[in-house]
Order: sequence, then C-alpha cells, then structure tokens
Amino acid sequence: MIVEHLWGEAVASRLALLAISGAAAGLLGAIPVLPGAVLVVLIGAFVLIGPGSLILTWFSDLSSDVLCALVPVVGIAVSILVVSGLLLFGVYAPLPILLAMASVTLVGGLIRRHRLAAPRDLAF
Amino acid sequence: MTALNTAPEQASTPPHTGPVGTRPRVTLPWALMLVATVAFAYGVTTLRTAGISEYGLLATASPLFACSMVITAVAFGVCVRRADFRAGVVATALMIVVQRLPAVVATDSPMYSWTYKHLGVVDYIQHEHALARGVDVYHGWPGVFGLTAWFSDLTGVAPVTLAHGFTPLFHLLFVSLVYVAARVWDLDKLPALTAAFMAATLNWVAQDYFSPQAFAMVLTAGLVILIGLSRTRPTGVVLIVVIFSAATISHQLTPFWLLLAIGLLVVSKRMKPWWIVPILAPIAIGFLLYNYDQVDQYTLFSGNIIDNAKSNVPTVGSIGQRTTSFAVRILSGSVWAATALVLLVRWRRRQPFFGLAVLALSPMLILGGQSYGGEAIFRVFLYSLLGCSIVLAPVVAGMLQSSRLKFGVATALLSVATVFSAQGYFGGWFANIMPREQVSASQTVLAQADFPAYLTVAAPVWPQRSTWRYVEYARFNDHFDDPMIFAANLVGSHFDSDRDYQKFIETIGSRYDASTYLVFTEQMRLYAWYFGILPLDALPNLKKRIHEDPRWVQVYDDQGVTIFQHDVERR
Repeated sequence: MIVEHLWGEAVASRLALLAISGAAAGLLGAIPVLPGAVLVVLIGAFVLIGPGSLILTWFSDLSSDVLCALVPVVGIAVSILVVSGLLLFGVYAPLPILLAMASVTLVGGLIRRHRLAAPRDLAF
Repeated sequence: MTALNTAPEQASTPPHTGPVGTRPRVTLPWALMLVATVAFAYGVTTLRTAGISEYGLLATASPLFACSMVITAVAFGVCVRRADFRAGVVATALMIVVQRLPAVVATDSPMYSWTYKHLGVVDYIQHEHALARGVDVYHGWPGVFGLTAWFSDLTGVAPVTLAHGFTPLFHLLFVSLVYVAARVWDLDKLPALTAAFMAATLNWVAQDYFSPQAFAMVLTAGLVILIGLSRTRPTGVVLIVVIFSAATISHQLTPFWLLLAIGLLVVSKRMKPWWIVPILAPIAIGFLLYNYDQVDQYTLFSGNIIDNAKSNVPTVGSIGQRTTSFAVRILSGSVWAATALVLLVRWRRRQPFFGLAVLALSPMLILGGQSYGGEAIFRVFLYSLLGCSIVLAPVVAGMLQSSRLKFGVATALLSVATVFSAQGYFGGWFANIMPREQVSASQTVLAQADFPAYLTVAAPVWPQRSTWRYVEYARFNDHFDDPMIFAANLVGSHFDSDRDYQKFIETIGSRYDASTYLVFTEQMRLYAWYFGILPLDALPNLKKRIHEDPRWVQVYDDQGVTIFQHDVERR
C-alpha cells in the first residue's frame, strides 16, 4: 500500500516535471522572432505535454501506458476548450492565451512538484 | 479485471515463444520490412506521374507501391507469429508510412475539396478574430478550427500547410491510442498490437484529413481508454468530462454516439459511475440547443434506416468507382460480420462480450436516427473501426500464432483486407487530389470577384470557401457556390443539345441579384464522370457552348482552370 502510494507520488512528480517542461516550451514559443519550424515544435510540445501532464498528476495511479496515451489527448482537449471556448465568447487573442495557459501550467506544475515526493524517496 | 489500472501491478504478458517446434527466425520480419521499404521508396516516386485511371492510384502507379503494403502486412503477420513485439511496432508504423504518407508527398496541397471549407473557417477566425455564427454549422462547432487558427497565428505556419501534413500524424496518434485502448480492454501485448495494426490498415474510409471528425476520433480513442478503466470502478471522471466537452464543441455527431455508448454501458452496469450520464447528457444536448438555429433545417431524427444508410453520392458511378465501392462494401461487411460472429462465440462461451459489442457495434445505431447528410454510413465504419479491431485482434493474433495453415489463412486475409482497404482509400485519388493551381485560383476568385456574386462551379469538385471572404458571399446567398449541375437539375446531361444548354442558361438567368462566375477544371470532369454525375464529354461540350455565347466573358484561364463571368443587370 505504501509502495503503491509512493510509486503514485513519484509518477505524479515526474508528470509535474513534464508539465513544467511543456510550459517552458510554451513560454519560449511565445517569442515570435523564432523560426516557424521551432515555434511549431515548441508550441506543439506545449499543447501535447503541458496541460495534460499537469492534470494527470492527480491520476498517477494509472499505468504508464495509459498516462502516456492520455497526456496528449487531455492536452488537445484542454487547448480546444480554452481557445475555442473563449472564441465562443468572442475572445481570440493567440499570444495572451498562450502566455496565460503556459503560465498556469508552469505555476501548477511547480506547486505540484513541490508538494509531491521526489522520485529518490522511493529508494528504500 | 482491467489490465492496466494500477502502475505497480503492470499487466504481465506471458512470454510468447512462437509455435512449438519452430525456431524463431528473427531476421525474417525485418527483411520483409526492408523489402517493403525499398518497394515503397521506389513506388512513391511514381505516384505524381501515374496516369489517370478510374480504378485509382493503385492501378497506374508502380506495382511496387501496392506490393509495399502487402509485404508490410505479411511482415506484420510474421512478427506476430514470431512474437517479435518490437518488429510488430515497426511494421505498424511502416504501414502508416506506406498507406498515409502519399497524401503528403505525392500531392501539392491537402486532398479533398471539402478540406478547404474547413480551412476557410480557420482563415476567417484568423482574419476577423471571431466566429460568423449563422453562416454555417462549422462556426457553431469551432473547436478544431479555433485551435488551428490559434496555432497557425502563433507559429506563422499557414493552416493549409498544417492540413497538408495532418493525415500521417493523425494515424500515428490514433493507432497508438488504439493500442493502449486494446490493452485496457484486456488484450495482451501482441493482440493489442494487432488491433492497432488493423486500425491502421483497415481505415479505408478516408476520414483522416484535416477535419473535426478526425480530431474527434483522437479524443474518442482517449475516452475509450477511460471507459475501459471505468468498468470496474470509477476512473478519471474529470478527464472524461474534459475530453467529452472538447469533442462536443468540435463535432456534431461524435458526442451523441459517445453518449449512446456510455449510456448503454452504464445501464448494463458495465461502467461506473452511473452519474456520469447526467453530467455528459446536458453538455451534448445543451450545446446542440445552443446551436439549434444552425441545424433546425436538417432532420434531427429519422427512423428510416435504409435512407439513413445511403451515401451522399446518389448517382451510379463509373465501372472503376463501382469496383472500388464493391471492394469497400465487402471489406466493411466482412469486418462487421466477423465482429458479430466473434461476439456471438464469446457470448456462447460465457466470456465478456457486451461491453465490446457496445464499443464495436453501437455506431450502427446512428443509422436508426440520422443520415447525417448522407455521411452516416462512413461515420459508422469510422467509429466502429476501433471496437471491431479490439474484438477481432485476439482471433487474428491467435490464428497467426497457430498452425501453419491458420497462419497462412490469417496472413492471406490480412493481405487481402489491406489491398481492399488501400483500393478504397486510393480508388478516388484522381478525383480527390486538389492541385495547387486550383487552390490558388479558388483564392483568387474569392478575392477578386465583384461582390456580390455567385461563384459557381460547373460541377463538383473545387476547393471552394477556401478563404475568409467566403463568409461575405454566404451571407449574401447561402447557395452562392452550389454546383451548377445540381442547381439546374442537369445531372447526366451531355450538353450536346440546345435543350440542355437552354435549361442551364435559364438557371443562370434566374439570378437577378448578382453576376455569376462559372468555374471549369479538368478535375471536375474526372470527378463528375467518376461518380456518374456527368458523362466525360459533358463539361467540354458545355464549355464550348459558353465560349460561343456572347453573354459570357472568359476572365481566367490558367493551368487547367477556366472561369467565365455572366453579368446581370440588377433589378
């Protein structure tokens, strides 16, 4: 039971780290002077790993296969809901939306990472 | 028990050692894949120069192109027989490459004229930073279009470029999700990989272009994973709501099928918690009511299953089109029949079957209520592919690992299914590719025509509504770009008589409020002939008569695209 709990926390901690990395990619992607191909990679990485990883830190009891599969799906779903949800309310501002989403993901990832046990705690 | 609900207790797959008495020849699948890769590498170079044929691309490209698919299917069969999981993954990826990469590397622009309707919505959002509610259904369900516009604006990459590269990426993601879904639905690794391979190779229905339904299928595959995990205890309810909501604002039909499937599972106590339905139903129904003015002209419920199952191509096509249609009917019918048979056997053996039946066959219930503009039958196969693959995969994998005879039969069936699917996918290739010059001409005419106007195509197919300006035209007249053949009820005409032309010109003459721009392309001639809308000589005859008619002025003629203008004195 304890092992499962610690395992879950370790996975959640790694997911939080992934969310932070995704958020960092998103924030870098907000630099418009970068080449288009680089921006595609950065913002694509943010969408596919940022929001999904953060949300899935609360579902770390799922298997790694399932988590790997759901991270991009949840990321796409959240991005659709935020961007197109705002659009339905008449708001369309690409850069501010990216900055807001990436910032929330970064802060959320940092908080989750801080609160969760680090993977090294498993080494007993 | 669900295989993948806890991480520390990873579902263990018994080591597959292959059939008793056989010594694994680990190099065989890799050698086959190498041959397939070489065949594809050469075959793909012949795609752009392949002659036009009513039988599609497989008929006129190098035979090595078709061979690469068959060899890949055989290679996959050998991988499963040898229990070589890693090689099986590569074979699955290779099948995606050989079947789906041609849509990118052998074309100038995204395929299918209807893709451009989606791109027009994206362009409008980028241009106006808003939706044009009331213009068409796309603006009521903007999920994918908003996300694409946002991504394009941030990266500077044109939506048409994103759409062009979409198909292989869709398959990579979808097939990966099918593998995990199959694992969650109790399949061991190799059967799960077989399910993924089948989802990759049997997807003839070509709903893999840049479209809301393609995104919705990715979201659906994610939901199927969570539904599988929720059979024994509630799992990821929040995730289900988030993904379902995204699907709801992206596509009209998908959330209702998902709601139906989840409802059936909940009622039969095969999914928890029961209160997920009262959460999801208001989301789907509420959003439909919010957009009700967009869809109230359509029949929301029709119990006529026969009518609902008819496709949106009512005409009898060319022999090539009928051959392709026959192949995919055989393929689809066989997949559904085999699935039903396997489920029947599972029921007789008292094995779990109901949940799988819902997953695989519930899409057919759509036909009990909707024709979806003649597209329901295509959606049924698309939706059922995931479930059918999961149902059939253990049987196929079992046969591949059984006696030599069964292995031979299974490999032959897999190869034949691959060829039929490829014929379905590539059969309409020449009718559906959209050359770059046509896309450019479409954008030019939208930008430069004297507004208001009817931008009418002589016959389908044309990359219409490809830029933001289409909204102005659609607000002027929703039917501003209806194909002339349908507007004048001239399907099947040769235009070799004054009577046909008179009827045509009367329809033009009935437009008192704006000029008409009439578009001709070689693509239209092929498409109309392929689907039996017009004989091959019809459009050249019509074009000749228009040339001779002083009421028409030729305003554009470049690289196979000709546009005539017919001015009217507004009353």
